[in-house]
Amino acid sequence: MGHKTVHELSPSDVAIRSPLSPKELEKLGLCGSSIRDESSFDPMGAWSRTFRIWGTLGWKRFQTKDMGFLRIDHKAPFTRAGGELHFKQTLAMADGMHTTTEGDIFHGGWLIRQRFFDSAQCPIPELDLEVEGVRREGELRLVTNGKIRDIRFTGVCRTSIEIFALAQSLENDLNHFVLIDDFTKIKPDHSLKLQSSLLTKDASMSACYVQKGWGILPREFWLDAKKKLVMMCTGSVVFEIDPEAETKTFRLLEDLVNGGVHYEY
Amino acid sequence: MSTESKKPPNILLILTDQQNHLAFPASPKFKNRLPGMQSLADRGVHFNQAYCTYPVCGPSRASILTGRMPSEAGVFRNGENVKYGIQNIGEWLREHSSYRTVLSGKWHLRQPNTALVPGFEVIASGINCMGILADAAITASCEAFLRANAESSDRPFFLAVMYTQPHDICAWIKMHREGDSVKEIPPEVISSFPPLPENFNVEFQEPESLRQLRSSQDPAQENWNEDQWRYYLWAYERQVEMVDAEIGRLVDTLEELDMMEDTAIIFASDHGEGCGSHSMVTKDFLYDEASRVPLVLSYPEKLGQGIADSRLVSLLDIFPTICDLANVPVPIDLNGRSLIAKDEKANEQARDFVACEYLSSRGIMIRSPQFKYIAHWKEPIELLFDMESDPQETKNLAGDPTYSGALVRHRLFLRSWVGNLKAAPNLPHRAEILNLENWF
Repeated sequence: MGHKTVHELSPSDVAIRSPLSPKELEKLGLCGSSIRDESSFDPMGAWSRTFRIWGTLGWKRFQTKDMGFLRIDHKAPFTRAGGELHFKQTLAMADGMHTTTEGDIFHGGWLIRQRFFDSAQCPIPELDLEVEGVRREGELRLVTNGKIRDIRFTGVCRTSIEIFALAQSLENDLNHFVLIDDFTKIKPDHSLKLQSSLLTKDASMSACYVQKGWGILPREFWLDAKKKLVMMCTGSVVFEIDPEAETKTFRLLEDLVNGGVHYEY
Repeated sequence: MSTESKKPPNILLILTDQQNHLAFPASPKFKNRLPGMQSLADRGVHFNQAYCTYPVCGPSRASILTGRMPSEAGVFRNGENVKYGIQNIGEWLREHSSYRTVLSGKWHLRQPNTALVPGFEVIASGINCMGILADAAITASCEAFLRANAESSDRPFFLAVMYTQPHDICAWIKMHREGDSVKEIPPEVISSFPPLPENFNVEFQEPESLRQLRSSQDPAQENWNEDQWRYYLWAYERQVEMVDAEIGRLVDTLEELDMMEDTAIIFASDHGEGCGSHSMVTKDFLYDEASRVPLVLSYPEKLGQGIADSRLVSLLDIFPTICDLANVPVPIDLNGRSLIAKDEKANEQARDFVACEYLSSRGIMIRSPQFKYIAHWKEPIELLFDMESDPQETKNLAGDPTYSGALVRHRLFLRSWVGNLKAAPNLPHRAEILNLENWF
């Protein structure tokens, strides 16, 4: 639903103009109806959301492919003591290999686990990663598979996943933070700012926050009229709200495996 | 530089994709902006005159992984296998040593990404042309592997870490081909974009094949104004930073595990990126922006640290270097040289030249210590640049009588190169390319 296969394209189906707005993608038949679901929503309360992750290679004979999903379960504002955000992300790779990262983010840090799976969908225990992060302003302690590393920086730090929730409840721009990308990579000089000029691309949206900083292409967080995050776009990749994304990913992996190869390790 | 014989080290081969040789900390523009690559250069030797053998992914990777020119390995375009029983470095190490050979990420011989690679265990297959998402998974798989094997003392490993970035610039260019996306950017942001390179305009007549390439590249030049070109450069810099962060995470892991001293790291890119020089984007041509690449060899236990080495080297040298590190024999018919000398005298003997092919347009580059010569089979225009006085390749000296001696000398280099080539049977137009009468 929503996206075209290669065979359904015509030469005029060129993906793209940046930024990728929900309206632009709807016009191209590339996103689903879930972005128009305007059910009530409280960003500070309990909510769950699943995003389909897909990408485009931007060729003239436009080609998209699904790559996985991200599910976020927001329990209470994790920026306050007692709050928590649980997430799970699966990324499908060539020949059905995949990786899943799952964990919890809270005010004082995070605890995540990443696993890798082979083409037979069997876990590869040798590649298990567990990362605990304990953060305070200007300091981060990472404990990875039991090994400790202390890092110092200026200001506060945010993980990439929590920005998905934060963008919905901002009252002011978020300036000067350090991005902890993938829970381990320190990327300085980040900001998350409202870019009103982008709303000319899609007047049905209430806001578009753009994250910029060292080591990323801009990440655009599109909020609907209820301030619900419906899409995040960065470079050639889209995170699009889709309640069935997890099911679709498992079907995708089955397809890749059935057409793919097995290996021994 | 020299090595003593001892237990062979773990070896990491880190490859980026489509990294311009100036997108590296040694360049003033990137000083203090790429901490991951900086830490590698600080710990090792930066070879700042390194050239790929073919400015396209698959053929260049064929060279890196087999030690042969693409014309010898039978790989002339993307989507081809290495042929004729030639072994890749993983297969060679398995046959001649107890090294565990592991790969994560891009392969591109034949498939861009696959779980089945001869000679290697694949721990993460990656996603074609999606470095923005998949490179993080490559790093995580390698970090986990390093952590699991940090204290394994009986069997060394060779780990090939094959990133996609900054190759994603190809998709960026396609997505911005109309040339008007920069209009969405506030003027104060545009003012911070990098300037055009000094050699953006081409002031000399080029061979027909290069003119045709430029007109076929996205974006067509009439679509992009100066601001749009600068926007592309800005996006490319972000993508270089992305892969630098991945490399930084790997280096941090090695340090944390106390593995830096007994792990040799080879860092390179398979080819370069146009970045607007000569009004070019991406690759598929022989100017330096596409053919010259970053290359670092780090092995603090045995090599110097923080050294800049200006000798001419080729990515053909990676295979014999790995053999040297692993203390295994080198195949007898390789053109490359180990970057680690056992014989100091031999190592200091300068190469006459290194070569780079682009056989889709039947072009060959000969790069000597001072000059670069480019000829295309059956095209009347030759290119000769004095790389010492004109490193940006702005003035073609091929028609200047003052340089006739240099021109003749480089024609002879090319003819000797072609004459000694052990060209694969499937080389297109093989008989014609190998016929020296078809070259100057």
